[in-house]
Amino acid sequence: MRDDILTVTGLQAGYGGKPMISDVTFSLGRGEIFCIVGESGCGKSTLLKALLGTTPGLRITSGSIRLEDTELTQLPDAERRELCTEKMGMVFQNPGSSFNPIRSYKKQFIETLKSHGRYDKDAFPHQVEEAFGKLGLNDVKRIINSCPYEMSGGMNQRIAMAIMLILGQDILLADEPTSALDATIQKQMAEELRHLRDVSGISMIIVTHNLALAEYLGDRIAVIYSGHIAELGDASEVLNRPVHPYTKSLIDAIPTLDGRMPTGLPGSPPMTGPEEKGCEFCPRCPAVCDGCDALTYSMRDIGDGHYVSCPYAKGGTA
Amino acid sequence: MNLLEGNHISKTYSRGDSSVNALIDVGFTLADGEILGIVGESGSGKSTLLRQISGLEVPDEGEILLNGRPLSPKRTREEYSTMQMIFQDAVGSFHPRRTIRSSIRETVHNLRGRSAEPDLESLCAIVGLDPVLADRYPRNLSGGQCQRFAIARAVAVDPKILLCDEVTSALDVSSQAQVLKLISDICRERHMSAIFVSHDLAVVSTICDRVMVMYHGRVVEEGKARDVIDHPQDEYSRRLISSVLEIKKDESKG
Repeated sequence: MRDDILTVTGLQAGYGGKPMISDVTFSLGRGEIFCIVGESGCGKSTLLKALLGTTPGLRITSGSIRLEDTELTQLPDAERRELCTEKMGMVFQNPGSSFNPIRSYKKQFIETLKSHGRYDKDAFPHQVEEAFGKLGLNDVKRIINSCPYEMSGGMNQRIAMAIMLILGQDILLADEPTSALDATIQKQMAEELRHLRDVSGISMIIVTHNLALAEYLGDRIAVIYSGHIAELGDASEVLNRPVHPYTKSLIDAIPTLDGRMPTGLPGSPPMTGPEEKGCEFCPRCPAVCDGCDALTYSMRDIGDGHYVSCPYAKGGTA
Repeated sequence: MNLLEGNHISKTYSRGDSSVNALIDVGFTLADGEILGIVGESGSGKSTLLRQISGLEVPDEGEILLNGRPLSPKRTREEYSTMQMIFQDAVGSFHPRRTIRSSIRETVHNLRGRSAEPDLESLCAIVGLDPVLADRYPRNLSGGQCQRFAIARAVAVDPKILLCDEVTSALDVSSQAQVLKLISDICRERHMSAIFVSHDLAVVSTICDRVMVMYHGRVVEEGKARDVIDHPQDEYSRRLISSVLEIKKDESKG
């Protein structure tokens, strides 16, 4: 039986009364790496922000987010924020901008720990050493006294994760953590994230538009389009045997070393969020048929925890 | 004769007592109608080389020849319009408080004279965008749309060479595929050449005829794209190739 740390059911959230994500249902196992993929503007980052609950103006309008035994949507805002930041940490696309570039990491670490009421002067050096060790960072003294502007993007990304480990947060939320990095560093960072999970048992939700990275890094994956999950399941299963036409088109758009020109998808995704009726992918779908514009969104199980929203898509084991 | 050629190009940046050798004795050639890829990590010197070629910076040593004639440090209008640069940050490459139409007009006026007017309808048709979008500000367009307009602006002055600096790095996978196909089609149909800088060898392999691998300011390997990717000779090239993440697609199903 799965030990889930986070369970999201029928989540709808948006800005100014307009939902940007809807009917989002998934769970995150303890120690699991869950990847959310899709194009820009499809709602991946909104989903992450809705889970963390610290973005002003972003309101949850229906559904449930259960963090261990606590229903987050029932909590008053301040209490929810406190619990979320206690349990979850966020790593951003541009790690340099999540730090003050000209203030030493040491000062910024102490500041963060104090704001969580967790600063212990005597324990601090050991906590830093232990966290840096888990991330494979040597030369602790030099790094902790450096400023972010002196470090590379990859190094800043690792140090942003160190503070999470010191705070003992259980879930790492990462928004495009590798897209600002070189190709060589991207693979290395993916390996380090997996290693971090293995040594610390931390659970991760990684938002990325890089499907190959999601396959390399993730245990499970959700492909999201216009605020709805289009396909969900085991990462290798979904990406090696995609069922939804959107997932297939996204995979065909990835450039590969064989020199084949990627076919890509025509047009761009709608930026208007999910619709109440009709599949949002219709106008771009290579397999569109008569009933598509009258569909009501739902996910169907096609076997082995593989779910797909398109009722006409064929595949799976069910 | 090569359309463009660089010989023994070196560039050093100094700050206080420290200095960085960004380019060390770099040479390259670009034939008519050819797309040359330059790959390497951050700090390898690929974007620095592009800036010397475009005339945004002047090399400390070496020469750059266009049609066999050396380019002077102070470029003429004709020389500038022969080579057009497209940047990674497409939104940031446009004036934030001018419409796209106005920015493209400014480029054409600067390089072709006040009397020249860009044919926005035709340019939009080339890059596959609705001309109505040209009346928007860059912030009101997606990254992919802005990058297409950046390509339209470059094509507006009818250059011979496109200089593309990580033009797809900030785009998602579908916009990336659209932009790659667009650049490839434009070069083929208008018989233009391009230098395509990227840190992603898979991206380069889709549109480049030849590839040059750079590491720490030097060229470590150069050859036909397929030869370099299938049979890399240099250890660093092998490392770059092994860092490319690809989906292990099951062709029998799906």
